[in-house]
Amino acid sequence: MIETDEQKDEFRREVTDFLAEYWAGGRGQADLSAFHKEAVERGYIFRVVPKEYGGSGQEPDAVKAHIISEEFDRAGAPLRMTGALRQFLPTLLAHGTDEQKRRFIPPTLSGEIIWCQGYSEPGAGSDLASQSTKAVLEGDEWVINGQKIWTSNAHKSTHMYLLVRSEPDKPKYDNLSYLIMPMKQPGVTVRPLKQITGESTFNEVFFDNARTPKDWIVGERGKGWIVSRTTLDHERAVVGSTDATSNLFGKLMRLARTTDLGGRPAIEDPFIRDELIRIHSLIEAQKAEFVEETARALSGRTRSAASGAFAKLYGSKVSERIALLAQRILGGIAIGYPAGGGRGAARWTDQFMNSIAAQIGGGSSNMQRNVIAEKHLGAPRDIRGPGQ
Amino acid sequence: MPDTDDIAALIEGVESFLQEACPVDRLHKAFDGDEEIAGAIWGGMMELGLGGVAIPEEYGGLGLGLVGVSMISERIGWAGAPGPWLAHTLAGLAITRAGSDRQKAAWLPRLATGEAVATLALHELEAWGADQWTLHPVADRISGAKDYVMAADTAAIAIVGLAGGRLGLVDLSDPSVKREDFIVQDRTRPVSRLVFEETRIDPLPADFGAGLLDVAAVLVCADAHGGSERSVHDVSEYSNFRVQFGQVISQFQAVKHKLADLALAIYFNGAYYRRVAEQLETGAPDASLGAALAKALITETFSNVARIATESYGGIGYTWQHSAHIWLRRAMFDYAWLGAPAAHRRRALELIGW
Repeated sequence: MIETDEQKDEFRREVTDFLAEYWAGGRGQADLSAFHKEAVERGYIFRVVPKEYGGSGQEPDAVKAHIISEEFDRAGAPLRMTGALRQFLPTLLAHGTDEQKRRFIPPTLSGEIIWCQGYSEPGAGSDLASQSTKAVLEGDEWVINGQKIWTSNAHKSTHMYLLVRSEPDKPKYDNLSYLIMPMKQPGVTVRPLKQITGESTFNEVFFDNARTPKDWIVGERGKGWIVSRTTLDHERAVVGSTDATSNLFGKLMRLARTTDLGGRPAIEDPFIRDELIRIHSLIEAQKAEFVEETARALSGRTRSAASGAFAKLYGSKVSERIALLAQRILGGIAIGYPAGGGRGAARWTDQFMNSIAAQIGGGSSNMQRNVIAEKHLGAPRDIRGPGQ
Repeated sequence: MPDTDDIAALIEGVESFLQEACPVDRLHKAFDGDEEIAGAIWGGMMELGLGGVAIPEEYGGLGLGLVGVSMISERIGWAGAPGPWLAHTLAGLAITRAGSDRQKAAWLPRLATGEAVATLALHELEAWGADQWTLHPVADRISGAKDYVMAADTAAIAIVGLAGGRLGLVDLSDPSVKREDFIVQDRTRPVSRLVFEETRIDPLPADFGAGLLDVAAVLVCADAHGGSERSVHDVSEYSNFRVQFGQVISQFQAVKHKLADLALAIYFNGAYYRRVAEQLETGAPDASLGAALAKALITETFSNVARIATESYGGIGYTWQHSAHIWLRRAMFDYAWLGAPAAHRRRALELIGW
């Protein structure tokens, strides 16, 4: 891993030079694929995926990964790392057969295969292992019946990786398998869910005798729970970047400066100011911890087995406080505004609701509290199964 | 300055000494006025060199930077160790940074060994800021009062905040200095009012009043963070052990999630005070802002955490014999000493220019 400040600065220069040359120029489709190819070649994206499968074949380096992510983000360049890929690639690399890796990874990296995740079900939320979707082996094919929910991007995906109950006679946690399944087939129906913001980014997915080849199982039969718990992405060792919250807070500051509240800018209101400075100090504290955690990652250490849960819970709490303060600043604009007015109010009312989603998605706040109490404070395990 | 390995070893030494010398039963006795135990703890700290952590090596101190000094403050906060370490350390630091060669030579070696104790006389009741100090030296003499002075009975000298934000040194053996002890909450750090009447003052040449308050804020933050960590640690340990309804109570999510929220409230604060200490050390432009923000956040958090922890023990936490209230009282001290959170937030808002 790179260590000294000089090495970090030099690497950052390399990345920004690359972005200036290959990204700032044009953003057409042709350029995008050239950009993408070059970024893989230089080891900036799909870093730890071996070269034989079309990746960069780099040693894991949490510091480099962070610098890359910061600079790509700043330039608005795509890292091509969706949430589903972040989960799926390490899982397939760890548990897939060579044949599966060769079949699925190269087209995934090139964007021909787009993945969605089939974990959550109406009856399997925080208690993810209580899956009802069934898979039965008939000849050379798995036949799948059941339903998934909260499936992001299912309507755009070509393939799904999913948990199914394949061993109905075995106990919970030993009765699941991890399958790969093509989405474009008659047995699969995708129905968008309309969210409270009015958008639709996730879906319900129904399986009615959906089919997938027998050998598209990742890991052994009945081992699906353990396979699905894989988090081998070493480059996620550094968690808790405050970039997103800082960015949102900057927008809140602009809102506070430009919104009139009782005849003067909201930022001059003593109660608004007090809450602004409180939120600011919370973000500063998290930034300081992030710097220390990054330094720890250099020597392969992390402060706490629950550092991810701390970062997620804290980030969603700060984002909630930002939303609530925006609501105070907006006043009546949050009720409504004449067509053509509103000055970005829609973005804030969306954020007001998105900050609720942040408490639920990716492990609810209460599940994060379980992790913190168990892994950081030594409380006994909750009613949960093996693995993480 | 010692390197990071030396500092880590020193902090480990402090930790194990305090574990030995200041376990809860001895802490309680010291809290209830056992001077022999309190004296033994203080004496041991001085033997470890903790009297001179911020004093340069040439004057017999350890010459630590502010990050190292504040990390020792955290350990003392964790242990709840009785004694005026904060005031003594800050007074030594004031003489180091702002004193004349004569003042340094006269006092620093004695402070470093603990042969003499030094204290701070900055507050004038609620007025604590350097721009609020009113004592005006007239021909080397001051008259007036200073409040919330630690160890006023045993200290040999006090660093006194003067009008215009300057500092001066008063020899407390001067008979013109009168002392009125306060009735205090935190008996590990009792305080008094000092009344000066035509008392001789020896001004420190450099202008360091505001700078001293910034450093003080960080050391108080570190103390508060140590105390917060201790409060969360102790109540977690208790909840992992205490059985009701046939199971340890930390298995009930009402308890478990409250503990998690306490851990979350303090998780980022250690790194925060260390960063501000580093900024003050290097003279970063935002250092005073950081000191104000951190003092507000971390001492307020300590107060909240210590309250909730005390409540979470149930009845036993509300007894004198239990140690929860010792850290609750230390939290009350850290919250108010040298400026309460609201005042520091107001100051931060001025500094940040919003």
